[in-house]
Amino acid sequence: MRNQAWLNQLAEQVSKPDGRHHFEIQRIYPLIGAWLGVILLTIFVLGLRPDWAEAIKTFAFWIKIAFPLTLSGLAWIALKRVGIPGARFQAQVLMLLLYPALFALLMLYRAQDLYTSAAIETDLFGQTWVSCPLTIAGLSLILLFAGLWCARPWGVTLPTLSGGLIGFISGALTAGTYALHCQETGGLFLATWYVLGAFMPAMIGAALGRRWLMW
Amino acid sequence: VTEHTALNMQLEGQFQRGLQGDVTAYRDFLIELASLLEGYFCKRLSNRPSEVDDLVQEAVLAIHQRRHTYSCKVPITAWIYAIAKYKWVDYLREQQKSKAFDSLDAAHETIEGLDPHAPWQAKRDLQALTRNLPAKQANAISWIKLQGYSVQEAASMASMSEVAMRVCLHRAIKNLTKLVKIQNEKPGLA
Repeated sequence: MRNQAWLNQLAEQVSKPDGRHHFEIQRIYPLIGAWLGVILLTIFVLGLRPDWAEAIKTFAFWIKIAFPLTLSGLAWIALKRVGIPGARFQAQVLMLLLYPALFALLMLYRAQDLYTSAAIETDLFGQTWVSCPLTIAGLSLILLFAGLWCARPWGVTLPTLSGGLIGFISGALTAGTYALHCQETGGLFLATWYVLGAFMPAMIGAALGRRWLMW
Repeated sequence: VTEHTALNMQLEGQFQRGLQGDVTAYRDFLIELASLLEGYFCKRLSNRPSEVDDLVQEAVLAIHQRRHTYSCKVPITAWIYAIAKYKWVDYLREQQKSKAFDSLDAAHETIEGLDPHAPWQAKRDLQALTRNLPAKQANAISWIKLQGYSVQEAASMASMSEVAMRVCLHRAIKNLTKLVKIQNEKPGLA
């Protein structure tokens, strides 16, 4: 074979094992650092919600944190499959899409008890339905860039989908953090605007991933 | 199916031993890998065998460089073929891009074919015509088509990117074609 000599040279390069692996935690330190930054920004720039001392005793407060964080966890699981060339990932991505859909259905079911359309409107729109997803998307850009930077050496074969998932993780993590500031109580609000806040960076991430995750 | 599994186990074993530092096993893996990839790309590029070698090399190198990202969760052949497919799609995309440039290059040829029997006269006519073009486009034509500079050289002379220079040249040729047409319809104009 013509390439024999070249292949021999490549083989020589195989040095001692260095145990590198792309999903090991130390390789996502930049992402964790960026998240800490977002937490600090939320607490010190946006400010904790003024009624936090009361709010932490309510179930709704913890749901608002737990729902986006579990959402980002599911997105992470999906990314871990999508990021491996040749792995099946359909089930994981499906789970990621079903989870917020089921959550929204649950919140709709709950909103039935509100009876009046005005009350349902409050549950859905609250006071900040415009600023909430925009703030989440804006803040999450820090995480998105850190995440894309972490993912560059992975060598993904689906750069658009991977970038989208990184954006979704960024958005969902930010949404969970933003809940420290946000005073909205509506279940539908959470199911709609928090999820939208995560979808916006997902779109940006998909567009950027297409360029930056190529190798 | 069993044959497939056997190949998988053989490759996986060689690869893992290679990662542990076993040069011989890794070389065997690379040789097997190259022949797998050759089959993969030959099937897709049967009409351009010269490109197969390049693609095989590129894919082998890609797999070699990312060898640490292999996860045991997938069969190694699935991993290899996913990367091969990625490189294949990348190749097709590049092809598509250069095709766009090819058509520009073809347009350059037509200007040279305007009057092959009287190159001097054609040159003079062309110079007269370029006066009707915007300065940038006139320069592009005069440097590349009349004075024989390469697109790269012309781009650096105008401190433009090569792509911008190609586009400029393409526009210039389009405009020239238009001018020639007008002239042919109304001979007295220029």
